[in-house]
Amino acid sequence: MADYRYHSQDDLQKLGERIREKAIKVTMSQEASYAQAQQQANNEATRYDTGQPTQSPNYHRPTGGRPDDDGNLHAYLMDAYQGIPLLFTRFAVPDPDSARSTLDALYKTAVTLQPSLEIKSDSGQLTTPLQVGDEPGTVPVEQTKNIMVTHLKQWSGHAAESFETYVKELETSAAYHRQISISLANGLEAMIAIRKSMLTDIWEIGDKTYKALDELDSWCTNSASQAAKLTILGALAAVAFVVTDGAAAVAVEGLQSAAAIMGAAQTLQTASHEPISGATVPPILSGMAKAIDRLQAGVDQQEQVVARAMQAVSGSLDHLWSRALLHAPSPLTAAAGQSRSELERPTGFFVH
Amino acid sequence: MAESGWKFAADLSDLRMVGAVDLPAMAYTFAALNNVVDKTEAGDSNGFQWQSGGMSQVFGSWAELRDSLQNLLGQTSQNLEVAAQAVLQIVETYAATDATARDSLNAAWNDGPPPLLDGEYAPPGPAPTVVLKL
Repeated sequence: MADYRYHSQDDLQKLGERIREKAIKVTMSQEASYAQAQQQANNEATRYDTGQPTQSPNYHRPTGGRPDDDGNLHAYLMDAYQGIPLLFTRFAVPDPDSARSTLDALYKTAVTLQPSLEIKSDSGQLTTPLQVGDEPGTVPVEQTKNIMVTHLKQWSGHAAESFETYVKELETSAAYHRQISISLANGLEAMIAIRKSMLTDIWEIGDKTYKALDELDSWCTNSASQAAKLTILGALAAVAFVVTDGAAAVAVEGLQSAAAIMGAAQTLQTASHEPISGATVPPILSGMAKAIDRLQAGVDQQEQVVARAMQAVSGSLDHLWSRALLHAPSPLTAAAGQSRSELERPTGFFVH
Repeated sequence: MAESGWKFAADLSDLRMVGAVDLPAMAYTFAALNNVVDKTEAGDSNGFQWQSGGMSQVFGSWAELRDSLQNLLGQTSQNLEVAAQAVLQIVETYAATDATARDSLNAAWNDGPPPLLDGEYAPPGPAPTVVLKL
């Protein structure tokens, strides 16, 4: 995302406070907003006095003066707009890029299991190896498997053959582990993309709201017209998921791919433009609130796609567990306790 | 006629390579990766936390899959070690019944494993301790 910048919880709090202060200032200074606010303050006082629930959850009945005089009106607005910063800070998350260390660990796991792994980079080009490299002290599974098969070529018997099959199937189980690792990485890449888009959009909403209030604050305009561009529904569609490809990839039959699931769930979405406009402060704040609701709904929708992808991979793994987790074959472990004469039977482990 | 003597020692040496070098190297690999995945738990909040409280709705299913991968890697390592011990036991059974083969085998292994094949690697040490999620 070209215009992404991380905004901390503190940044969002300050943004919300700026908007609140601006909303109060413009209400107190713009004739039409002031008149509207006076009406609302009087209505709230009436509700309070007649035992009806007030519209503002933070309402405090003035103890002196008219509800709509300057001092009491300002206090009323402070109460009514108290929750604005919370509308922004509820989107506060740790810096999404701080999740990169987990991503590196997952890619490292995949590359260690299959060093010749060909992985599509963001540009769509095949690239090998990944920048992370493999874990120190480890060995390539396929190559070590081939070496063991070489060492075993003189050995025969049912126990020896079952052991050789086990060794060869290690490559398949490693391929399952590799695919799970990549699916996890893809899920985390998706979360990073969603969160970056979300932070960009909430900041955009705040920025456009402030600009709209600022327009009203100007002596030469009597209405404001802004629109917040929301990118959230295109967050996943914009991610270039890492997938395996090429002849080096071992088939992982039956195991779902998170990238395939998330890719299939997306259609390319153009950004939506949420109006934040009006001739007075209340419709501007209402536009802001609607845009925030739209953003929240978008975040939920995108996250549900990722959650379903993770569940699907787990579900498919449940059916493949015995292929993903190989146990030392029982003919081999039984042979370990046998005498030489038993080992040299057809069921055993002997040199042919 | 059953194998015996120095020729048999060569085959026993091949089998011992599998049990003493190759399988332990694989066990090391899977245990090391088990540890790599385990350590990602420390960073869970970076990708999934809401600073107003709680974790993303994605976290539960993502962490479940992560923990499954961790256990697969760890248990694979443990199973490889079981296989390695079984193979070594078979070597010892044969060596105990053939003095010439045993002496020839031990001479070849006197200073550690014989020369490794091209692309064959000995593990750097015992496999790291595996961490399994309940």
